[in-house]
Amino acid sequence: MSKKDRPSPAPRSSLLLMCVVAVAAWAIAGCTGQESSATSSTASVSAAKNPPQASVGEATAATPSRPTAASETTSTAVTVEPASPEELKKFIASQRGKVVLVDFWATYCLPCREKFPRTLALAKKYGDQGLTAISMSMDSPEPSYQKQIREFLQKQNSEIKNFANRLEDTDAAFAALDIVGGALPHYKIYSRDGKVRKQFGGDPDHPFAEADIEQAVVAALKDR
Amino acid sequence: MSGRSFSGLFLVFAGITALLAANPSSAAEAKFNRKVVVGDPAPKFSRLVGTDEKLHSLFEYRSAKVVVIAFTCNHCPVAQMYEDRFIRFANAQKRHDVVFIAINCSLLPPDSLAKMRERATQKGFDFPYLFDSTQEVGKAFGATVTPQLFVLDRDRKIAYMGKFDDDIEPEKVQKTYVRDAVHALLDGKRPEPGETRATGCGIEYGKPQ
Repeated sequence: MSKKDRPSPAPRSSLLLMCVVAVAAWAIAGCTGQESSATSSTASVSAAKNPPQASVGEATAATPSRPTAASETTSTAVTVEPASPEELKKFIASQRGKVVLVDFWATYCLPCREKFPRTLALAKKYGDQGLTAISMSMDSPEPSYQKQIREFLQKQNSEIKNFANRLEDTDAAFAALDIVGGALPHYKIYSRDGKVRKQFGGDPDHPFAEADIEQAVVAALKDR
Repeated sequence: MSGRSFSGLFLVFAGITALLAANPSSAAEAKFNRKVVVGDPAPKFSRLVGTDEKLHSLFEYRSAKVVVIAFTCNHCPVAQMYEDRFIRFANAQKRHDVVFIAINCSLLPPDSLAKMRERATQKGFDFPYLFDSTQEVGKAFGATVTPQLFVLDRDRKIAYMGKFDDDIEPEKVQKTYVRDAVHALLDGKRPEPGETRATGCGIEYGKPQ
């Protein structure tokens, strides 16, 4: 292409132009590719509360598998500890040297409740090999939901360490804990050095099966 | 470097700045959805079977001023809590040439097409309730939970996405995100916020065959 075909800029600045466009494109891609991190981008969202068990029960006539209010057996070893995202992370950090599996669930999430026994089974199977399995309910901290959480966990005889979100702003809790896509159930596996090794849930392009979680736990346990 | 080069460089910077200023949403609002951003053309769906046993496409609603797409399903308690609100909203918006479409991309047994028909009849859904049997539409929109809403403008670009409102319990709602987004578009304005974090029951996507 001759100079007269290109009125401006001068040929020597075409390289500069390409560099500028490349830098601008990189900057734009950096903004759109940002993950929602623990502390950013939550100001515009407001809290999402949870449905009361009673009203949810009324609305779920077609799904009779919800747990009943009264548990038939009560295990005194079932405890629930309110925790902020930071407090949960602190506990996970205290488990350095062990593999940690976190089961993020909520009382309004039917698949969460149906799959919860699997987490307990993994805790039982791999506990003596260095696995710490814990649960974290993402329900609202309101007393009525906390009661439902305790009732469910007692019915499950969940003797692992159980946490329950204590932030009023549940959206902030989801963001701080990086629950991908806001979708429950969500699982995170931390390797022995305390870093997130694998997570499952909330990514349509990466569906997972139950066996994938156990496989990831086993791989993490082997990795010393 | 010659004066002409500096002028050219300045023009490039000015042009890029003007472009960003005119379309801030494309760069600034990719907060939660991993697939699409506000301002993107909405993924087009076609030939989704509805509870009316007919096939439906986005093109079918081309005359609507605004299209609201709700990814929802039968089984999720959170989605169920919103059904009455969806019904009221859909009916109220019809006079504004706003179309409300519900899409289910869950393949769980309670969310089968037959069960969808039962639900639509039982609740009196007066809007299309479509079955995304391949889950491709859900994936294309980056839908991860139910319910999750997308508001499309006249050009079928995503103008808002996320929650329907700010509380699962209807009596505690303070912010009506979708309604406000629709009204903003009808007033020729950009919805604000453009995106909120949808939370609810995770959509279970199957592994590719």
